[in-house]
Amino acid sequence: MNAIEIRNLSKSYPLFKVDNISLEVKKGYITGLIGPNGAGKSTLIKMMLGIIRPDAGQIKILGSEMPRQGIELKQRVGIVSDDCFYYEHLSIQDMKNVIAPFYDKWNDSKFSRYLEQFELSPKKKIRELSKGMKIKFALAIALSHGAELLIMDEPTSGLDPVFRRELLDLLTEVMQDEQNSIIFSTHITTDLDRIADYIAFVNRGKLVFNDVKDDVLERYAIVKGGQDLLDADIRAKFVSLRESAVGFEGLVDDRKQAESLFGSYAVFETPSLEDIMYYTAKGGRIHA
Amino acid sequence: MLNLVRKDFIVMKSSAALILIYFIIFSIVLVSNNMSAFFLAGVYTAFTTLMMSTGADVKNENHNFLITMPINRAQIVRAKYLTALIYTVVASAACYGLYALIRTVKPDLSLQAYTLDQLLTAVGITLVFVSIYLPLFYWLSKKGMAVINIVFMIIMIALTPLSNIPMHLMRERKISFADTTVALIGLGVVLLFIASYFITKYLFNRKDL
Amino acid sequence: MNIIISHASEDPIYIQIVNQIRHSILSGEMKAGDSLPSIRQLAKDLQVSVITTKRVYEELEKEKLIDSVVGKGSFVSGANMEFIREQRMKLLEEKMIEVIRESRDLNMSEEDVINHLKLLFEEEQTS
Repeated sequence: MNAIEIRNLSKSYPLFKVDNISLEVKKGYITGLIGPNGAGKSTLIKMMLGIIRPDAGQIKILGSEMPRQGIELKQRVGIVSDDCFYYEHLSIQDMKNVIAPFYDKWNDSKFSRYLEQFELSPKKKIRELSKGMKIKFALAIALSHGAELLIMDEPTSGLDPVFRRELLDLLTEVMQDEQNSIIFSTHITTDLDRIADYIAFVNRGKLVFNDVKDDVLERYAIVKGGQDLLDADIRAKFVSLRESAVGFEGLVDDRKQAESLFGSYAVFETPSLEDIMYYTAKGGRIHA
Repeated sequence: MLNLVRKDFIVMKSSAALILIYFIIFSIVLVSNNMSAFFLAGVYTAFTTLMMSTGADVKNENHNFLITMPINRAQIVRAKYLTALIYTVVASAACYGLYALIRTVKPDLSLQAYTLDQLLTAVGITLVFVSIYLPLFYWLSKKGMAVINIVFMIIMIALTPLSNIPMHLMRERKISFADTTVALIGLGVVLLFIASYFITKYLFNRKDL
Repeated sequence: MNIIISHASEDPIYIQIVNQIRHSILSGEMKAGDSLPSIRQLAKDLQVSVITTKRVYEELEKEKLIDSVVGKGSFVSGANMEFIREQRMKLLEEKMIEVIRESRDLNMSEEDVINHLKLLFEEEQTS
């Protein structure tokens, strides 16, 4: 079963469009949604949540169609977003009192425990919270109503590195239950390098790939070598290249082919997700 | 949906004192000006409270957050109409209560009589305002609303002298709610309120937040 | 059992884990019937993907080093005692060869080495 199923989703804006994207988020796993700023990740997530209306396409979350069957299924979905638009003048306690009654499975003691763990005082007003604390609050809420699916839109962009690691621990703890699924959109890919199971890469409104992370990291490679190794044909095999007076460095999407091509004349490295994002965005080649 | 109504009250909790102050100021202004209808204090207070309430909802794009909860847009609209109705009834009742209080404490003050007719007129006027205001609110952006708020405030201030006409007529017993025409107008207001709800629902459903 | 992975290493993560678990089993640190952490628990402890740990266990199963029982988890297999013993013998032999080479560097004779061993055996008995 898929936690999220998106078919042919499109949305046009004057200067940008989300172009016919189809992807699945598999149940029981963490899917990372990566892409440069402005690639369309947030638009995609907003369409999943019903904040933005798509021009075309279907969305199914936990088997139910959005937005038609939206109300019931949102009971089982927890959302953490970097624009958490709470009522600024309310306290955490008041805000919780607004939110809790909406959820059938609200667990107050769990929520209190998270507040303690995140060092958030219930009396503090939302406007007094730093960005990171707002995200922690959103997280506490999202984890306290029995959600099976966590949708996280840039949750780490305001967080200090210490809490970012703690977040990874929290998420892997959530994933101990294989009924749960997480989709995690971010442009800080170091978080996903480790714990993500699947990676969906969106660039300029199109889906570049949606694949097992391990496979992606084995398929792509960073190749480094001397200028003399390059010619027009060989340059074409790269996703993109960085050439300098002292050599070149580039990304290929077929490691085996590159290894047989260059042999021991070039250095091969496993790329990070950030490398893949950088070189693909630079390269201007969009793979379907 | 009731959770949303509760939300409105929690959000407005901290403004309760401010609303009370507005009510008292409106009342004082209207009482001292003998030519005006006192019941307008209820109208102004109810509508000001509604403007504050809708303002709070968009100040921080709160709709983006509301929509992530297990509710849909129709419920959000429905709850807002219900809240508006509650503000109207409470404000008008408070107005009447204040009137009764003044009458007991200072019977020598020449106050216009506050009859049931006037109470219904107060509710009616407020509902007409709400019926026009809410579709605009759920349709327009934040900037559009800033303009609309000013327009409505100007209209309400202009209303003060105008309201004397029906009041005068009622006092002279020329018209009352017992009349068929007036009753029909009342019915029309109720229908307008309901139609407004459906229009707002439609507009809000189409909107990108 | 300790598993230490290096993200800086060029070896894929899953290979590092397979190697370390394999070593743990063959060296006798883990015995037949010992249970291994669940796939998800291991993923959490190492902060890696669940698919990675799944792959690790599939690989170890292929090598017949572990058995997975649905609903119960994964266990060090007892089936391959002979093979395991052979592997351990190989490791021991390697160590013995190392001892011989070291002793040569130190200019010890075969007799010296054997006498030293006898002494150590006695010490081991009493300790």
